[in-house]
Amino acid sequence: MGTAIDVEGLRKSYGTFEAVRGVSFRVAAGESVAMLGPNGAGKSTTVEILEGYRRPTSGAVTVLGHDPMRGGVELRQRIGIVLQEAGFPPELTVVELVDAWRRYFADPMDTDEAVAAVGLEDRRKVRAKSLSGGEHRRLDLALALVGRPELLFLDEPTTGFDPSARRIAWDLIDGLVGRGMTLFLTTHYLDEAQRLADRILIVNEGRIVAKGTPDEIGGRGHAPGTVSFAMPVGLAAGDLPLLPTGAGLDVVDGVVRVTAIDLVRVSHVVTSWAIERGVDLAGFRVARPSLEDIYLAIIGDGAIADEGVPA
Amino acid sequence: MTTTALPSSLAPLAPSQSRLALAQFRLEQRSFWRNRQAAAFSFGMPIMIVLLLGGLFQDNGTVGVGGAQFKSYFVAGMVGVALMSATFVNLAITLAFQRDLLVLKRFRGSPLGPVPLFAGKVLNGIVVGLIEVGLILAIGRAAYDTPLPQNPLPFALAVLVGTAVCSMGGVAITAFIANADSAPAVVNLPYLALQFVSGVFFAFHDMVKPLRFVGDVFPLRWLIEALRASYLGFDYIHTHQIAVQQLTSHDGRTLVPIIVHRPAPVPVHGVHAVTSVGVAYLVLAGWFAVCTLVAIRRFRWEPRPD
Repeated sequence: MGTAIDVEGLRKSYGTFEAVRGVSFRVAAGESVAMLGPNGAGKSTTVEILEGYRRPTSGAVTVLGHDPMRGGVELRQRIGIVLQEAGFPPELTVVELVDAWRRYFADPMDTDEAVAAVGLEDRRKVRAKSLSGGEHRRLDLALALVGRPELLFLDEPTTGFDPSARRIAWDLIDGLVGRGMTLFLTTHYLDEAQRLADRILIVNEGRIVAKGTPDEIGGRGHAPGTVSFAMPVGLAAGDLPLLPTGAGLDVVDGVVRVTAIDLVRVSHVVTSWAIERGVDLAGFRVARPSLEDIYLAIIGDGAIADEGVPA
Repeated sequence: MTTTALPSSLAPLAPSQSRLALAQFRLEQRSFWRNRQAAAFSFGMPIMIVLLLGGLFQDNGTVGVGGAQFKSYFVAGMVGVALMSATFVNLAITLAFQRDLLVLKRFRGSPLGPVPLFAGKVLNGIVVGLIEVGLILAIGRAAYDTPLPQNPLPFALAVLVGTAVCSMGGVAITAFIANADSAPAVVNLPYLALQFVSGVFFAFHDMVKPLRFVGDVFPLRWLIEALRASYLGFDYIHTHQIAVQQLTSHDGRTLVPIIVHRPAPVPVHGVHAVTSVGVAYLVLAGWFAVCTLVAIRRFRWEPRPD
């Protein structure tokens, strides 16, 4: 597998404000990587440098073997871009815009195929100015995909989507990644990063503060999880089985919560005990720390509080 | 992707620049005519002015002693105004809006490239301009009995050069437009002001010296000079130079000619006529160069950050 994106020591300042403060990472061809972080973390600046919109203050950036500022048509033929925000000529219709865009590429999708892929078949003849926010975003995606890009950039792609439109977009993108497309996305939705990315880079204040697979990032694979269930009627803490060493136990309001690293062993001990005693474990649940737990631990609760309304 | 697996001779080719420009031109045409309000303003305004003022100027007599009727002089001037409206005004306002709406940013991220993008936009301006010129000439002829261009080829050349200079001016001025809201104001200032100092509604050589000086600096006056000379026939130059001479003697003093290389009160030969149009093309070429330079160096694809 070749390298699709290579970033080394990237820095970008606007006046005295340093938006990106020394970021390095690599994305292999066919891989999907999400950059996750709060607003102002430097996500959009980074992705816009990769897309060739901004010149780095320092550091080296290579996209599909090109300097993105100089790659020109040759590079742009091979990438698709969904900007965080971009307009359309307001008087043109969905089908006219997709059709115009497909002409820019050597080996594009059919117009109908691209329109259908984003679920805009019923809005073909609608002018861009009359589209809803979600439809606008789906047309963004159609234009980014119509050239069959090798590498797709998505800058907060599903902001403003309703849940079902979101699922459709995710399935579409996931399918393309499955067929070999490389994906680099920025998002502040944890579920989006988890759903779409093989690997996550968590950024804060212009730096990468954690990276890894959605399951492993921030030590998530090794962090203690919990086994919880309702205390069976008539039993007390003293009746519970002997737990493996290192496991913590607390019982609050009739809910038993066992905290441990080896959740398999704890589950086994607890379920064997219940079967032997012939009791029911209502609400039995095994939980790894969620990506959100990890994210909040890394970024701090203050950061996510600012996130309420996407910019 | 599949393309990398194909031998290069079988790999599909990226479309050519000229095809892209034509496709862009078609998009611009659709956009232009569908936005009725904008089309009505930039397309309909010059035609309306010709209709209204043509009637007013119908009996204004002649300019100078050469017999050029003022209404014809005016129609030739309005051809220049129409070209400026279709290219300069239309292009600058469209670009300012598309920049603010982040449409230009989107185009920039696509493989379209700036050359076909601007070629398509300029071509749109040329076509709109040509339709307007045709209509103005037709209305002038039908309603006010003004002539058709006496020297069609030089007239066509002047139209072509005019669209080129005004288009480039339209791109260049967007560098000085802060945002879409201020675009009409910024663009209409030169558009309206230049009409008044470039000899459209008044005989240029009858205007007071400071106004003539301002007119001489800017390209519209020279575009109109080139258009008018070919529209009326070169004899027009003859006419207005005699007119200047008359003014001079009427005053009892010798006026210093604004354009030094065209001493006014001399007998007129064909040479002077050619020279005057030649100066026009030199000034237009200079403006084209300056505007190109500004466009290349100062053009912004995205709105100014807050």
